[in-house]
Amino acid sequence: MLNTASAIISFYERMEDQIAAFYDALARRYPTGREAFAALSKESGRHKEMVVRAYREVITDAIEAGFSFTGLDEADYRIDTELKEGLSLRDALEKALAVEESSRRFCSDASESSRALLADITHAFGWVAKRKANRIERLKSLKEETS
Amino acid sequence: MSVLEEPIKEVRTLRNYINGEWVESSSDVIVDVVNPATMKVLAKVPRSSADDVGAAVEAAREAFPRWRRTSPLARSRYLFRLKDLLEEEFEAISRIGTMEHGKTIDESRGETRRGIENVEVAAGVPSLMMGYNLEDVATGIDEYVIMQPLGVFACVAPFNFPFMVPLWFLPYAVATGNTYILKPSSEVPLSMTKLFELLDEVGLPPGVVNMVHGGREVVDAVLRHPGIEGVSFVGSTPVGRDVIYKVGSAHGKRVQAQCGAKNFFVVMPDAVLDPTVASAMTSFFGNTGQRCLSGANLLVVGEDDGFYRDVVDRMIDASRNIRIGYGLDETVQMGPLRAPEKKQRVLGYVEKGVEEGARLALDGRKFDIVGGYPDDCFLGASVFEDVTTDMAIAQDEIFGPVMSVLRARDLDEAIDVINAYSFANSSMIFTSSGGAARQFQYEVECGNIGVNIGIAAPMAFFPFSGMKDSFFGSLHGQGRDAINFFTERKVVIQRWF
Repeated sequence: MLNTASAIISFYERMEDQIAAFYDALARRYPTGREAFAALSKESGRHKEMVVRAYREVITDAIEAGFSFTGLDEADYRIDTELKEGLSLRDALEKALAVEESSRRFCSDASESSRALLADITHAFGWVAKRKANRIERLKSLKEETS
Repeated sequence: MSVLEEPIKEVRTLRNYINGEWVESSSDVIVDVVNPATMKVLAKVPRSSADDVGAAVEAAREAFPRWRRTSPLARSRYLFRLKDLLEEEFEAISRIGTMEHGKTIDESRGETRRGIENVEVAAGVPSLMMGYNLEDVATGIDEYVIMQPLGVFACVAPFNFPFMVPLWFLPYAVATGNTYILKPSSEVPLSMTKLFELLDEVGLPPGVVNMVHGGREVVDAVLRHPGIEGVSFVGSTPVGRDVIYKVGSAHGKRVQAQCGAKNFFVVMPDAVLDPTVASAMTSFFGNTGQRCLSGANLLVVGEDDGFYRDVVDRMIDASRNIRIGYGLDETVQMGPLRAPEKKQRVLGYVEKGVEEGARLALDGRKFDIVGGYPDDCFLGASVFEDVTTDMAIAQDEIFGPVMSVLRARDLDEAIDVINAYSFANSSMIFTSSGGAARQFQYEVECGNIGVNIGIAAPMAFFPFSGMKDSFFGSLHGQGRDAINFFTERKVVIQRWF
């Protein structure tokens, strides 16, 4: 259950770490997309920092951090980053697209559900959700290039 | 979701920090510091003696002449260094706060941030401490004001915000060139022990900051010691008014005593209810109701019974669903009260409310604890309806998770009800009307007003206000008020022949 700001942020941190590690693994495995994957991994780190800072730097004892999120279910946003042996680049990109879509949806939902009370966190998640949409477009292009 | 890792791993006996050294208290009376969620002992803290206070005053007085000559810029740089260390230790400090106090991790992080913000503001001392001048007050004569430090100041801190409240004062005192003695609450001395470990790392000259653990004997010694210029206090009204302000003033000290409260949370018929209810949950039940800005009395305005029912039903539903447990569990929304006797006190009020004829619409005595922790300090949220202003639950500061619901015909009556109270710390109004909000802000007699804000907690660059029986003194903590409290304005009139 993701019902508090702390729970939401922790879940997001873990998710973004998992995504960064996933792209690092892709960069190691597929020379064709090495630079693109490394860039995506680095970006994930920046996104995480952006959201965590928004939380840590604006949280006060007075805001409704414990009661702002109506309750997101982490099961709805699980991502699969396992890379099986022999996975083709095209299939890996397909997997990356699913990962990005899931994380984009989480950021968008987290932004929406806190809109009334936690403006900075709402903004940070909204910003990352937009960036995730861009990443999805970049991955689609990469996929087209590889076919 | 798992419980976050606890940063305190072993039980140790705390020491005082005097003259730049960690020293054992001269007292052999030691008490346990207990985690109110797990009931495990976290540390042992000495009940220091008047002699320990004397040693701290001596060190602080000796350090003062050199420290006041240190330039404000250099003093502020010590605070910048402290700020860096606080950021590095942000999470550890926050988790310690949850362990010793019981509040949720979100609340602890909020408290840590508030404390750090005060360090940031005080670091602006080169600007904040500037005086002012006027050339040619008479022909060839100039006049100017210099703000000067006074000497040794002390703080008697409360249990409800163990990290934040001392930082409403300490950074400003030190930044303005004074030296300092802190007495943390002996219930929650670990956050301040961590702060002083960082202050030690900052490398302040010995004696600039000192910490003496203890209870009443330390407070008495602080209030009576002739070597202390002023005292800051946060706590209950009886202690603040009858002990700290009276005794401190009688001994020639500057005193600022920020005291108790019974705050009103006013819901107007045009309030936006979803965020209002979420704000109410934080206001009434955040920090388990143990804060001087907590909502206590919910005042629903208007004669529309349907609106009243809607507001109260929403409040009850939301209160019923609050997850109660150990604050290091990130899904928990309300932690325990600080100690078993505090829980018993709140329970006494719940029983009194029933005896007085209020209707217990939600009984906080029945609750579940996430994680199966011992129930010594836990209590659920209670909501009383049919409350009248003559009842104890409407009048007294309960300092626990109890919401008393009252009604007022209109805003004028609501304001009259609020102004009849002797407490005057905070009042909140939830409305879509600018006119109603302005009337409320203009006419309500209290220190901190929230307009669609459930906890009207002033930021570090504003004074933490309070009026009537909620504050004794003239200058508050935080911001410019703190700078003024810790300095004297010296006027110089000058001409040259």
